[in-house]
Amino acid sequence: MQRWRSMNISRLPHSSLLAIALIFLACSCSRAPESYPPPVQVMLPPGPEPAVVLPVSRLALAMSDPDIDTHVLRDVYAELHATEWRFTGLHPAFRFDVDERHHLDFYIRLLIGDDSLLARGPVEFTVNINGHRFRSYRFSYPGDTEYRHPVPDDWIAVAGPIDISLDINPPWRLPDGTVYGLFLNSIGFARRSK
Amino acid sequence: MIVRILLAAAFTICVSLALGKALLAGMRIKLGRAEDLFLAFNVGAACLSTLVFLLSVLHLADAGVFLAAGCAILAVAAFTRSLRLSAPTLDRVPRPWLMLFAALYTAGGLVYLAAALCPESSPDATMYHVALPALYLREHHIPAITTDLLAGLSEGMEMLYLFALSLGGDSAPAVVHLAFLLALPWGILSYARRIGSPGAGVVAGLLFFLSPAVALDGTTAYVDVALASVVFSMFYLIEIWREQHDDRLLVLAGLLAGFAYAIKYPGGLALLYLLGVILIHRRWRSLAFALLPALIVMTPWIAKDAVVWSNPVAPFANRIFSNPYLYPSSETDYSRNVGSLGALNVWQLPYDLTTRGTRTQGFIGPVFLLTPLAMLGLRTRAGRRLLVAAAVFALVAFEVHYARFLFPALLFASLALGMVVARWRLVAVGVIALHAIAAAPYVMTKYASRAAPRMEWPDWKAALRITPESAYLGRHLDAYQFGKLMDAKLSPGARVFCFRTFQFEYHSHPLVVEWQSALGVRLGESLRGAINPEYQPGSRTALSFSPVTARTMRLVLSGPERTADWTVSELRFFEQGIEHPRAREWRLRASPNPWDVQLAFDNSPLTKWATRRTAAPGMYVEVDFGKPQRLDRLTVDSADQTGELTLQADGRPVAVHTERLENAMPPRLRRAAIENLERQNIQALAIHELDPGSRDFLARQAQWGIELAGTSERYNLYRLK
Repeated sequence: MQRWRSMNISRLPHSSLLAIALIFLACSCSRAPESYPPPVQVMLPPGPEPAVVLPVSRLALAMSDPDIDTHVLRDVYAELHATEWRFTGLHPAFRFDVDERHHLDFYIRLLIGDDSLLARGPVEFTVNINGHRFRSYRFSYPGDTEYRHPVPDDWIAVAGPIDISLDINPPWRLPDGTVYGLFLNSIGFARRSK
Repeated sequence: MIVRILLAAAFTICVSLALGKALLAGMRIKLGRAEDLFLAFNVGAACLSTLVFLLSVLHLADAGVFLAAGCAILAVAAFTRSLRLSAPTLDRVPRPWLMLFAALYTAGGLVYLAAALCPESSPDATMYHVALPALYLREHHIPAITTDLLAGLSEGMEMLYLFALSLGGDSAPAVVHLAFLLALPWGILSYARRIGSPGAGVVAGLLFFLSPAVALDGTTAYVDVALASVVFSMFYLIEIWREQHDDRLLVLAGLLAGFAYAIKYPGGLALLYLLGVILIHRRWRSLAFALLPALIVMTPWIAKDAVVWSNPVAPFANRIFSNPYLYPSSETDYSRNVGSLGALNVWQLPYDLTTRGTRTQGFIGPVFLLTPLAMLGLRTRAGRRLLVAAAVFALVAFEVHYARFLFPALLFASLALGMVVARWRLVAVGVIALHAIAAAPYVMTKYASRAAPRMEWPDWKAALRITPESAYLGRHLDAYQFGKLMDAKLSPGARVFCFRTFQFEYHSHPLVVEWQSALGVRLGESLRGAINPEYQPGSRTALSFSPVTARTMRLVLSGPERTADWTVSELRFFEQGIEHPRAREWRLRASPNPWDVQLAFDNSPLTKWATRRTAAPGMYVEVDFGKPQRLDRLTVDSADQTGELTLQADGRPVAVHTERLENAMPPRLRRAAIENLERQNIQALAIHELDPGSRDFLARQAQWGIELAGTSERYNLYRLK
């Protein structure tokens, strides 16, 4: 005890602080060389693009699908945002064919933005599949969101393309008068998880 | 298996305790029995963590070495009779309080033990708290990792996890963390006995112990409960020092403050608190007693980051400590992500933090809405000190809103609240009963957000390994099966690029994740640029000027400061319409971000030099041609309409005429992006269904030059051709 107290350490705080300062100072020195030579030049791949084989069957429409416009019946804005997302109006509708007709969930992937949530509050929508309707829950949290809802087999058992439409509420009105419904990535069906 | 896990964790705990007891005995510090054990465990953990770090630096991260070191420590402690229990000197806990405490502590402790014994499946543990130590163990040392910003964080607890998992496998770290959770209520209780309020200790210990966020964290290999334990131990020692003015206690407090930093950067507040208390007491000479041991524990992590990342506090402060491995813009995104309240208002935060857990990654329990009552504790000195400590450690909330970051503050607030409600025994029992009920897994589903992480009833069969680990992990851990797929389909050690991070504890492939490093950001941008016009250099700015002969040309950004960064995808020089080919003797410079300047001269539209921070006047790209060159025009390709540009030839301004043009993209960008990845030794892509371009990768494999190697969960694995 006495030995501890009798240690002459009055100068240590300064030296230790100096040590810390030196460590940080040394770290702040950049190790970057002053200059670099030009790198090896990249040779872009020659020749034409290989042909694309689009999938013949799908369960959901993605806004990035090359043929998406042929499946939009109404109320989806043409401008493509960040290649994979599109704004919809309040009553978007789609028509497309699916091969599987059993044990499917309705599936939608949308982005709830902080700004839209602050402007209009939680959003919800009614889904209409071949004339059968159900209401989604209220989306009250921001972010990239997936929503699934079981679909009775008989709703989609009939042959031919399936019509899906949404009625979205409330609208998101921008100052310039534009009215948005959802910011959509994909819509359709997904296999029901076991 | 289960025995091995328990033995490894017990060995780690015993070695920590022995180290701490030996240190306390060597320093002849006398404490009551309960506090002696609690404080010795925390102090010893700090010492063991530092020892493991040093062994790992010496390439001795090996189960045999750790076992031998642990046995040696136990032998020395036994030989020096340090392990003897000290005399009980604190006030007794009244029997009714003790029974309440024992009943809830035992019930909770058993449930927690079962949860901790389940195979490790928590996100952060499988991404770094355990995954990195597992890597260190495979490599027998701590390798220099510059492609994962999480590897730049201090890893004080991870060193204990390394020690434990070397002997007990992947589940042992969680049990080690659980030991801190199990020790804390006893530490709180013994402190409360020291200040003459054992009832408050019972209430506070149980409030903290049963908090849903604490339970979730403390039963997995996270680090936050351990941080709370270490911070509280430091506080405890400071309080004894305030009574006794024995500077030896400050050595231990300093050690713990350093360990708090080593566990998690916000733990650095502990050192500020410690130094603040010493300064308030005007004990200038005592500062060194606290500061030096703190530095001994902190310096290894500062030095490691300084050497590996050229940044002593990586992955933060990259504007000050510029380096080639992390962009300031990535740090901004990361900080914004963890600090964002989203659509939540600040006034909603207390409700979210206590009850909903929407944006706070967990919730501490609705009973903590009573925390303002703790202000009544301001009437006592002990209450004031606790509330000051709570306020200091709550400062972290200005940066991060996650519940677990607030555990140290929560602990002090619990004790302050306990001191108030323990005055009325029935009220105290009611508060604890409500808290315990609210912490039951079934009840939590009734009030908490669906998105809030919370503990579920443990799977006893999995904990006892009746259910095989792989079956449990396949159900509970994202990308577990995908990790197995990678091991099966890729050559050993093949480097994989991915947009989102996922577990890398249960596979052996290095991941380059987009947001985790400068390299990841560049590779991600090149893939996005192949399909997304927003990332392509679709704009060309041409600067024409009267012919000049100059050796250096500097392109300088001028005009007002911009919110985005300034990018240059390609910079080309011309004379009479003919481009000067890039010659070996050219020397390229840029400020800021000098390391990427070559990307503006590589002939690829998918790579770029960028400031990687808010563009400001004076930033430049410069070429020294090695000899005078005659020039009359240059072009700058970039993704956006570049701001106002000026030109200097050999340091003299040049009058320019600026034209804005469109820059047509060449074909086959998808293939070019993949070739860019191949140049960085990437051999595969791990693409989640929700990742950018996921549908494009699948549909246009021939155009990318990739092939689907397999699919698992929601991930596709592509081999680069």
